[in-house]
Amino acid sequence: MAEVPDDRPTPFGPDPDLREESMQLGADPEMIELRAEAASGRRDLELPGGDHKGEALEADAAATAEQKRQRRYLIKALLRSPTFMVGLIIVLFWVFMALFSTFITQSPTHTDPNISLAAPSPAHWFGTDDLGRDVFARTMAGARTVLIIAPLATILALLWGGIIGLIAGFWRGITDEIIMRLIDVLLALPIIITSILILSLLGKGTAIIIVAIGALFTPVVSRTVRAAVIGEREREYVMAARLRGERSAFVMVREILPNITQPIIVEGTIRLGYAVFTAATLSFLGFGLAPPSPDWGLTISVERVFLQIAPWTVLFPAAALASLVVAVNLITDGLGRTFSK
Amino acid sequence: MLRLIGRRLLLMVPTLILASLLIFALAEVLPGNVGRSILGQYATPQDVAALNHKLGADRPLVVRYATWAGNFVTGDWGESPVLKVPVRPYVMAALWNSLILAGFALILIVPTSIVLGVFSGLRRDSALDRVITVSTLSMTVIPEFVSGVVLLYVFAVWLKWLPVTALAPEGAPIYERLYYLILPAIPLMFLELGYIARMARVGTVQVLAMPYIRTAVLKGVPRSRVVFGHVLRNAMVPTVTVIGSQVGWLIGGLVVVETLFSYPGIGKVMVESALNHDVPVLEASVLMVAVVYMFANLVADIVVALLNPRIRKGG
Amino acid sequence: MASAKYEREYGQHLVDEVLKGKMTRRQLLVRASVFGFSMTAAGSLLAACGGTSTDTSSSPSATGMPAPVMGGTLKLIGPAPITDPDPVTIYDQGGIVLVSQFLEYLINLNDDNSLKPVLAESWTPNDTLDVWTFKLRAGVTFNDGSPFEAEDVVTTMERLLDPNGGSGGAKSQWGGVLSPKGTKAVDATTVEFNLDKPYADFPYTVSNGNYNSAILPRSYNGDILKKPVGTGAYILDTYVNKQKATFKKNPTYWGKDDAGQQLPYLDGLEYIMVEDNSAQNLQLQSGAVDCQPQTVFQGAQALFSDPNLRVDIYPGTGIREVAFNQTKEPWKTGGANLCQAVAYCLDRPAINKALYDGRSNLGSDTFWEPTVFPGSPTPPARAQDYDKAKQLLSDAGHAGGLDIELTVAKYLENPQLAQLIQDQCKPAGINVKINQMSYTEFYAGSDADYYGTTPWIVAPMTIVEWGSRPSPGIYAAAMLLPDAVWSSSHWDNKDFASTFDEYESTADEAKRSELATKLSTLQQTDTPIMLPFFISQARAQKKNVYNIKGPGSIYCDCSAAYMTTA
Repeated sequence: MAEVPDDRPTPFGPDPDLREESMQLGADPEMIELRAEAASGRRDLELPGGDHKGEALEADAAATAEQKRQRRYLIKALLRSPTFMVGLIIVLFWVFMALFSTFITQSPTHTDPNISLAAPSPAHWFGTDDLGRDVFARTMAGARTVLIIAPLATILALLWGGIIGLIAGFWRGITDEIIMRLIDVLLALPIIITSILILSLLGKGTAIIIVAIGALFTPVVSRTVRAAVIGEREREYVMAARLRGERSAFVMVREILPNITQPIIVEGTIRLGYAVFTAATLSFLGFGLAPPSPDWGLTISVERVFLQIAPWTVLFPAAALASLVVAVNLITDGLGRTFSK
Repeated sequence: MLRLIGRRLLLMVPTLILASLLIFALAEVLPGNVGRSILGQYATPQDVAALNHKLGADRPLVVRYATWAGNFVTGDWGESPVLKVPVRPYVMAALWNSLILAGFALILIVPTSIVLGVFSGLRRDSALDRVITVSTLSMTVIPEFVSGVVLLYVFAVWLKWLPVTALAPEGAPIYERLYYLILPAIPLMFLELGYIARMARVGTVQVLAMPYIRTAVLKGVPRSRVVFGHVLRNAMVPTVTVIGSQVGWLIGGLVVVETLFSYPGIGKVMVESALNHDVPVLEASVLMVAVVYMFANLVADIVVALLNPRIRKGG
Repeated sequence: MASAKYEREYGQHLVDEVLKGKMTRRQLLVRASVFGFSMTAAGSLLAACGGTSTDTSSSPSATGMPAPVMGGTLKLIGPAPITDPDPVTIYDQGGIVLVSQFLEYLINLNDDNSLKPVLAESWTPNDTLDVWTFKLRAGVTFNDGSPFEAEDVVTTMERLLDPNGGSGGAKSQWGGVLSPKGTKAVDATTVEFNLDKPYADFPYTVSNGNYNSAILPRSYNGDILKKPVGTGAYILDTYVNKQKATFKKNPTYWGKDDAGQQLPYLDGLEYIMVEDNSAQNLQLQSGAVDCQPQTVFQGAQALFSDPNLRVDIYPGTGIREVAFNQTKEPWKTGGANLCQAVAYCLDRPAINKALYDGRSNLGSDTFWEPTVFPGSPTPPARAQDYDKAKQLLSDAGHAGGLDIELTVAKYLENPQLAQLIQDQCKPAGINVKINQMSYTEFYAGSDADYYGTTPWIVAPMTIVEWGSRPSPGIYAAAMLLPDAVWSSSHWDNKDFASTFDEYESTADEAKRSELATKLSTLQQTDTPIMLPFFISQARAQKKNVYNIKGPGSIYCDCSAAYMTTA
C-alpha cells in the first residue's frame, strides 16, 4: 500500500490505504451526524450508575426516531432515482420469470429436432435451438440459476470477506499484515487458475459453484471492508467504546459494522454483477452446470457455434444476461448516488 | 519512495513462494496425472505407470517441489513433460504475446475511459453523465465470449474489414501486428471501459468538492486551468490504481479471447497446463503472471505517490 | 503358405458368392483387398463375375475431377497435437494428421474401407489365417536416404508391442492376435506376421486404421520433431508448438500417379493449429486456409452453403457408444429387456437430424451395419416405439417407470446426445439424470486401478466417442468381448465370444456371412450398447482443392492432392 506521508484528507479519507473501488462512506455531513447520534443515543442506556429510566427512554425513543427518519429519507431518495428504479424493475422481472416462467411458457426441455434452428416465428417467439427447443422458454427459465447462484455467492463473499476485513482492519498490526499478504497471494493468482483448482477440488453442482464464486470474491471484499473499517476505527464512538472496555468483537460487530453497511452494500451490488458474469464464464469454460439447464452462460457456450446461421440462439440469452447485470449495476449506481448526496 | 519500492520488492518474494506452493499442492487434486494426459485413455495402466516413473511424477510431493523449486530459482525451468519443449522460451513467448495484446488494449482503453470519466464527473448528474455511465457499465458485463464471437462474425467474416486471427504472420512489422490485434482488443475494451471510467469519475467528483477547488474558481482561475491543473491529476489517483490491478487480470484472464482468436497467449498456456498436469509449465506461467500483476501494482502505486505531492502543493 | 493357389481358390470363392447373389461386386473388391489381392487380380475377378466392370482406376480424370496442377502450398487447419506428437503414443486428431504427412503405413484405407497397398505391395495369409506374409515395396527410402526394409517394419511393430511403454491403441487392436516376437523379417522385402490365433481381419490392423502403426526407421529413438524421418510424400520443415507446422515436398518420394508423374503435386503443406471449431470455420470462410480435414457438423451449416467451399462427405464409421454397464444396476437385473426398452425410446432420425443435419447413417444397435460396412447382413431396423418400450419395461420389472443416470463428458456433441436421450425417454416413464463432467475427469482414474475407477468404464450408463474403425470385428474386439479391456458395457456373452472366434478364423465368405448374422442378432438382442448412428465424416475445403484422400477425419492423405488456380 502506498506510504504517502500526508495528513491532509485525500479524497479517500485520512488513510491513503483507502483506494479501493467502494464509494466513500457518507460524505454527507448530515448523514454522519444522524448516525452518530443514533449510535450514541443507544450507548447512554448502558452507562453505569443512576437510574435514568425516564431520560433513558426518551433518549432511546429519540435515537430510534432518528434512525427511522434516516431510513425513510434513504428509501424516498432511492424511489426518486430513475437509475435505481429502472434497475429494480428489470431485476424484479427476472425474479418473476425465475419463479414462474415454466407456468407461462412452453417447456424449456422438450426437444423436437425436426424444427431445430428455426428462426423466430409466432409459434416460437425467439426461435428454436439446435435440439428444437423453444429459445424463449429457455431464456426466461435461464434466470433461475443465475438468480440463485449470484446472490448466494455474493452473500457468502460478503460474509467471509466481511469477517476477514473486520479482523484485519480493526486489529491492524501483525494480524493485518499476515492476512493482507495471504490475500495478495490469492489475488496474484489468475482467477481462471483458482477457479479450475477450486472446482476440481470441490466437485460439481449448483451448491459447489456458489461456494466457489463466494470464495473467489472473498479476497476483494475483505480488502474493501478492511479499508472501510480503517476509516471508521479512529472515530470518537469507537474510541469511546474501547475506553469503556468493550470487547473487540463487540466493538467490531455492534459499533463499526452498522456504520459501514453502506460501502458493504455498494460492494455487494458490484460483486453481484461480477458474480453473474463469473457464473456465466465458468459455464462457458465447462465447469459447473449440467445439461439440460437453460443457464445463460451454458447456453451461450454451447450455441455459439451456430451464431452464423442461427444467431437468435445466442443473442437472446446474451441480451438477457446483459440486461440482468446492467440492472444490477443500475441499482448500484442508484444506491451510490443516493448515499453520496 | 525508495523505502516503498524496496519494501514492496522484498514482499514479492514470500508472496511468490507461497503462490508456488499453493499451485503445487492444488495441482495434486486435479483429476488424472501427467502420464495419463500424455498417453491418453487407451494406454494400459502399466504404460502410464512406466511413463510416470520415467518422468519422476510418482515421487513424493515434497521431493518434487524441492527439486522443482531448486532448479527454478537457479534459472533451470526444465522441460515440459507433455510438450517436450523447454519451459522458459515457451512460457515467455506466450507471456510476451499476452503483454502485447494487453498493452495495446490499454493504449486504447486508458485515454478513452479517462476522458469519458472526467467528462461525466465534470457534468455530474447531467444527461451526458447518465448516458456515459450506463452505457459503459452495460458494456462491462458483456462476457468476452459473446462480444468476441459477434465482433468476429461481423467484422472478419461478413464485412471482411479485419483478419480472423489475432496473430500476424511471422516477421510482420509492428503496425501489422497491431492491425491483427484490433479485433481481440475490443472485447477487452468493453470490459474495462466502464470500470476505469467510473474510477475517473469518482476521483473527479471528489476533487471538485474540495474547498480549495471552489476557492480557485471563486478567485477567477479559468475553468480549463482548474480542470487540467488539479482535477485531472487527482482523478488519476484512483484511476491509476485500478489500471494497475487490471493489468494483472488482463494478462492472466484472457483465456476466452485467446481461444476465440487463436492467439497463443499465457492464458491458454495456464489452462492447458493445469488440465494436463504439466506442472513445470503451470508453475512458470502462473508465477510469471503473478510477477506481472505485482509489478503493475507497484508501478501504479509509485505513480500515485508521485502524483500526490503535487496535490499537496497544488493550488 | 500357398499364395498362388490360395489366390486362385479364394478368388474363385469370392466370384462364386457374387454369382450366387450372396455378395455384391463392391464387397468382392473390399474382401479381395483385405486378402491382399492386387488391383489387377481383383479386376479380373470382377470380370469373371460378368456384367459391367467398374473402373478401379483412381486417377482424377476417371472420377471427373480436373487435371492435376503442379505446385502450390496447401493450408490445412485443425487442432494442435495435445502432446509431443510421438507416433507411438499419439491418440488425437492433431497428432495423427501431423505425423501422417511424413510417415506412412503398410496399408491405407479407402473410403469404402477396402485396402490400398502403400508400403506393403501385397500380402497373403496361410490356410489357417494365422500366418500372414507381406511383400514390401522395393526401392523405397526414408527421407534421410536410408533404405526402407523389413527390419524397419519389425522394429516398428516390436516397439509398439513393448509391454513397458508401447502403444495402447495398437496393443488394443492386436490384443490376442499379435504379440512381441511375432513379427519376423524373412528377407529385406518380406515380413511374416505369426499370429496367436487365426484372424481374418488382420490386415486392417496394420493399416492406417491402426494409427500408431506408422512405419518408423529402425534407428528411431523417440524424438520425432528433432528427426522427422519417414517415407511419406512430405518432409516436416518447421514446427512451432501449438501454432503451425510446415512441410515441403519429398523429392525422393516413391509414389507416382497413373500417368507416371512423380508425386506429390504440391510444393508443400502448412498445418495451422487452431483448437476451436468455430474459429476454424471462420478461417476457412475468410479464405485464410484451404482445407479443414475434420469438419464437425455442429456449426458447419454455414460451410455447406458457402459458395466458395465444397464439403466432401463420406459414410463414416465413427460412433457414440451408449453403454449399459451390465455389472451395475439397473441393467444387472433388468437385463436385455431393460436395455431394449431404452433403445426403443430413441427417435433415431430425429437424433440424426439434430446432431448431424441428417447426414449420418442410422444405426440399429449392431456393428454389422451394411450402409457403412458393406456386406454386413441387414439388421431389423429399430424405430421409436413407446408401446414396445413400455412393454419391455414392465417385463423387466419396472412397470411404474425408472430413474437412471447417464454419465457424459463435456466433449463434442455428447451432451446434446444425452439431452436428446433424456427427453426421448420421458414418455416411457424413464427419467434420465445427466451427470456431466469435464473430459479430463471422465477419463481420469486411480493409478493403482485405472480400469476399475475411471468413469468411462465403470459408470452405470455412459456415452463414449470412438473414432472410425475399419470393420465390425475390430469394434467388437475392442468393446464387446468378455475380456475387452475397454468394454464400458462389461457384456459377458460366451456365445458371442465363441462365435466371434470362429468368425475371425475363417476365410469362407459364406460362413463369415452366416456367422456375422448370428453375431449381429446376439448383439441386437442383448443390446449391451446402443448405436443410434454411424457418423459421416466431412471435410470442407475450397472449391479448387482436389484429391485429398481418406474418409475425412484423421486420415488426411495429401500425397496426391492438388489445387487448381480457378
